[in-house]
Amino acid sequence: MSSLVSLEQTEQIDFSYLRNLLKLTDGNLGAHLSKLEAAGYIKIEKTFVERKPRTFISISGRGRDAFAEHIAALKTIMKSSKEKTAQRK
Amino acid sequence: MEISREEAQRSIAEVNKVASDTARSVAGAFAGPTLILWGVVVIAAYIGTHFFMRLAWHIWMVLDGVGLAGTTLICLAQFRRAKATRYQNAGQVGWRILCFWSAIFGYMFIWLYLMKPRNGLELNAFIVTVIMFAYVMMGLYEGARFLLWLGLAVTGLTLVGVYIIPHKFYCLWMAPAAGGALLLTGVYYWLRAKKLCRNSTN
Repeated sequence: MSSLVSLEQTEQIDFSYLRNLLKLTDGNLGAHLSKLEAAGYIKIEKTFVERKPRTFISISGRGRDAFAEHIAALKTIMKSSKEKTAQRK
Repeated sequence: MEISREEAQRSIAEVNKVASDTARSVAGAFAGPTLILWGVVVIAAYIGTHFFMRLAWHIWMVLDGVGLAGTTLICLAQFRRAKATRYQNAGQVGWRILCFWSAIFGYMFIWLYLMKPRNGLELNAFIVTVIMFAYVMMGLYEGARFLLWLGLAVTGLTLVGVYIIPHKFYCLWMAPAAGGALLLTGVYYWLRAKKLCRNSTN
């Protein structure tokens, strides 16, 4: 998701490129993507480019929102932990 | 399941790293071939200008024309082949790139008309630094940090060429400095993109 969220709204990334970028195997990446697709966070499009089968992945609006919420939650944890430490002092 | 502050911090750091690596890789894959082309154009133009100073205007016009035509063909091929990423609205993206560079060159001509550089060296340095300004802006706003550093580096090297290097060697300095920087950066990102685009399976 971290990778996909850096793409533009209408940008799709190639499966092989993403796999090599994240240093994963086909099976590993495929398993992650299946779960994200089932949750509605990403869209997977299989198509042909110059007569070769290609798979492109993009993040959905719902995926962006969910990811933003996840990051916000992590920041809240960091902030509240910092406040607790400051109070103890 | 509770997440500790350290785990949250590590997660956010990991997210930022992966996001910026992706943005940089994707931008590099797109920019690599264009940077190589302009690196070669710039090196040839500066060397040609050094040896045939009277034909400087013609050399730059012809080679810039080659660069523009080549850039257009490269961009069209990249949109078509979509090795790393593709756009569902490729036409709009292409239009946006065209508008961006048209604005840069439009303002550059306005500033040239207003400021009127005194000689060819000032004119050239001005044009180079305006284009590098565009690279710096793209680097800041498109997540392509390497363009930011490339823009700043070539700007610095240009200023060295103007203020430190004897003027008769300006072109011989700029050929490897500016052209070389573009070429090497382009080659680096092109090779990296080739490696990432390979279709080998596990």
